[in-house]
Amino acid sequence: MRWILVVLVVVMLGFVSSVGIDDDVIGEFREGEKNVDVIVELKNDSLEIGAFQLDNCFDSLDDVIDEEKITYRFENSIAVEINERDLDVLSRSHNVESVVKMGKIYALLQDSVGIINVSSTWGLESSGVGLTGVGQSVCVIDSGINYSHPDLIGNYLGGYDFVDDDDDPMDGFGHGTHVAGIVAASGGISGVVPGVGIVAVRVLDNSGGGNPGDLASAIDWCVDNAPQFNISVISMSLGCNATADGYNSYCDSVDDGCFNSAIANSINVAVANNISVVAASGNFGSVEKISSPACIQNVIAVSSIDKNGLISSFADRNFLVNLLAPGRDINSTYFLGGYAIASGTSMATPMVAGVIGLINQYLSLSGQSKTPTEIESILNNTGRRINDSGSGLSFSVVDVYAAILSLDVDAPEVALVSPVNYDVDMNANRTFVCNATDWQLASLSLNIWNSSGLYYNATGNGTSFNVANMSEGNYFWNCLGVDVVGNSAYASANFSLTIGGISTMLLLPADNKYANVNDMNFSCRVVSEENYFVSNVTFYLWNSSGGLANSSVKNISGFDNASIFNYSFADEGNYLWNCLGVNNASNSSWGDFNYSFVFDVTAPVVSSLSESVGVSGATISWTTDESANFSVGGEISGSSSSYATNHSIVISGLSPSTTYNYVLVSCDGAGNCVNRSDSFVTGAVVNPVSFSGGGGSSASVSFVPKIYEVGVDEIKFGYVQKLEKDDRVNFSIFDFEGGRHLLSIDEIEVDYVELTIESEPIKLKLGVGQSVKLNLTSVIYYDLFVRLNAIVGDAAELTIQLINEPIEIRTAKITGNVVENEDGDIENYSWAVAILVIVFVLIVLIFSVIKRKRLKSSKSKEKNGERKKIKT
Amino acid sequence: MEKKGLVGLIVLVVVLLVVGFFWFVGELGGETNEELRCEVDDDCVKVQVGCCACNMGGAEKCVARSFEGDYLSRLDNCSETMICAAVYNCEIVGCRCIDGECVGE
Repeated sequence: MRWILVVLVVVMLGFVSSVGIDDDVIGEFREGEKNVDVIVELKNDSLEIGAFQLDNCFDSLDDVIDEEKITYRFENSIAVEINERDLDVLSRSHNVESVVKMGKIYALLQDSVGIINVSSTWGLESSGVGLTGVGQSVCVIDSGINYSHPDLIGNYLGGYDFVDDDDDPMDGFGHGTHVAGIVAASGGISGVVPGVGIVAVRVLDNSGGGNPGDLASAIDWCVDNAPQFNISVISMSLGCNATADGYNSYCDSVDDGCFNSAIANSINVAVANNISVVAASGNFGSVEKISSPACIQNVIAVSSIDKNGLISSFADRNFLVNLLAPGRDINSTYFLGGYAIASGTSMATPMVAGVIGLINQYLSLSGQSKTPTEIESILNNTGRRINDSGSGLSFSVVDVYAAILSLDVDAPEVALVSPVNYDVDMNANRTFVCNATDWQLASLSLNIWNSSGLYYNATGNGTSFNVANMSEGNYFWNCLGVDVVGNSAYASANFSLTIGGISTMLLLPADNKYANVNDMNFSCRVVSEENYFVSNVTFYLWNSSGGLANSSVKNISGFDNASIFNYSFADEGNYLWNCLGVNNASNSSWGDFNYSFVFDVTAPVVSSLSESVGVSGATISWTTDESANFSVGGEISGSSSSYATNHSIVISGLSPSTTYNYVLVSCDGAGNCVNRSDSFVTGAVVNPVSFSGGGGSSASVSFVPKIYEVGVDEIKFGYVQKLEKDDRVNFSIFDFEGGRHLLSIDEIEVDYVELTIESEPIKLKLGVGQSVKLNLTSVIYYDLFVRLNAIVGDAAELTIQLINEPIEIRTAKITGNVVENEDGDIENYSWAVAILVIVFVLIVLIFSVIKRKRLKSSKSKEKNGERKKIKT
Repeated sequence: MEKKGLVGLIVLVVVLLVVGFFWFVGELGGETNEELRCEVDDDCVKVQVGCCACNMGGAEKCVARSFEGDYLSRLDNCSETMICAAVYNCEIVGCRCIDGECVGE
């Protein structure tokens, strides 16, 4: 019945339909398929707005075909899954040109990720995490994205819409969704980094246009929100329309209306924050010029190649282009659902952005850090070079796998397989097997050691090593993996092997162990070859003079036995210990060598404790009568875990003239500790430039303000000093302690300085070349002269001199109203006051004269009026 | 008389509505057949639709040559400092007159 229906449809199509129906489509239904994937081509080929505004063209089809069945749209075609009834409807439609069976032509993004070698990296792991971009995010500045697209919904983190000024960057044009899919699609198709996060910033409106000012704001937004979303790349698949002619050199300062300066500034801030900025070179096919913002120096400019590896005909490129990636016929997410194919440097740009996100993920996982410039350089150096006959230049096509391998700092992970650890066997011909895991393993080596040192070494490409005729004895073995870039590692622990009938190993305490408890356990392990059980084990302890301090025997059983022996120490001292294992075949074996043990209950004795103190630091030194570590606490801190008898610690960053108390704790290897408390006082800062020629010690401590102590003799002849903000000069006018004053610098500006003089606070503001005379101690004469000679950098050079001049104009102490200018003329502010008074008086006079005139005139008018009245 | 006046008023309103509707539709940029009308291929010309060039996310189409000026004058309203998507949409190689309408090929 169903077959008959198909025949009827076919017959009907033959008579009434002008639609070209692919025989393969009919064939599929004849063979019993219920649904067939087809491409429906529409007759309407006068599309107005390109690939991203196709809604109207499909309105009529939407009436007959379920929207959900449409898997992609491109220009005047759709890919859709149809049943027989749909085919019937399509065949009668006036809008449909043809219906053909869909081949596997839509895996174009997958082709592209293959070209840049990114899929090879998806299988790589670092620190147990797959390299898919997880943890990184790309800020896509575009037309927004449809964040509800099934392939993007899991990657979308947030964003902003600068077109509508809200926080909903929903895509109304389609370009941003396509770009975002190339970066991160995860579902029907896979983007370059399917695990990366997408942050969408909308600057292109629903017609695809935008304002360059918004672009600068968008970049700033990405930078500001980078910490929240861990944005490491900004992707800009756009260009300024004013630059149809483009730029043939860096355009950072070319202000032609494309807002280059502001955008360059934003980009520079992004790069300074370790965020790579990637932009499309443009699509005018120029071999001399590229668009803005790709022309900005700190941008990674990306141009396009086709899938066959040739530069796309539309691709702009010149020497400003940094990288190439596939940009023609790229299938990616469509903003109305499904997928669409598009071409342009727009499509190449997000590929590079995604690659950088992936590189940043690996850098983060492997504890490395690279600047955007370094990452660009890595991609350039590891990419596949192609020559462009059009421009005469050569460019690198991104090869992310090669880039990642060049950054490889992970050593191989080596595992020892056989013989198993602690193996005991009479067989002298052994096969050693170990495995190594690495992205680029170069070689694997077997190393076998005995008590004399390295016994055997071999390097091979395989994982298996045959060693013949091993002599009886105890061995340790391990394998060393080395990768192509030289990272190498052994398995985390050596394996033990005994060729012979029995093996004895000393377990605890480890060799050279110190202890301050007298009750100690000693353990050793005895392993026999598989034909004989172990029989007994004897523990031996010798004192420092070689005398046997203890021996103890235990009967043991099985093939593998660990025994514990207890001993209570009575005397401090150095001891050696070992175990002797015996099996039922009377084979016996000692541990490889005697282990050392020190029983010590006496704390170290500290002597020669001394401090060498400076203005801002101190060195504390002491010795101990035995090896010990130390820690210093209290008002200073420091420590050393090394055991030694001579100790010293340098403390810095201390304040001058300050007392520091500290507690020193020094412990020996057995854990016996000694405490010592002490203190020291740091030195005062003294004048580093002594006018009297006395070489004061330099207190060049940059983090504390300097205090200069100046005596009467120095200030008498004029003390000159360069002072920085908060520096102080402590000086004397009289030769006794109570006569000391303090001058401090409050502020230093370009051409003046603000300072304070105490004991009574007097605040002054001096311009360069200006001076002031002060009467600090008398009401009838000036006793101090201060002059600002110059301001050099952050320092003000002042002259401070003791004087004795009668005060001619009596004022209150000092208000700075008597100022001597650079020429030495006296400027008296009183003149200004006088002038002001004169002006005031003049005004009053003028006002009075005017008033008087008016009064006169009104009186004469009144008189005239009276006369008129009289006349009437 | 009143009735006639009322009818006249209604007619006037309807006419205004109809005129307004068509004006509105025209303003929306609805394509008229007049724009596409042609007799020979040479009557047709390729024009840029929208402010962005087809090289940078915009689109192009074929219209009657007499409408070329209209499309060019629309571009006068475009800002010269726009940013546009860097997607390549220049798919129309030439224009032909098919069945009396300009179409791209």
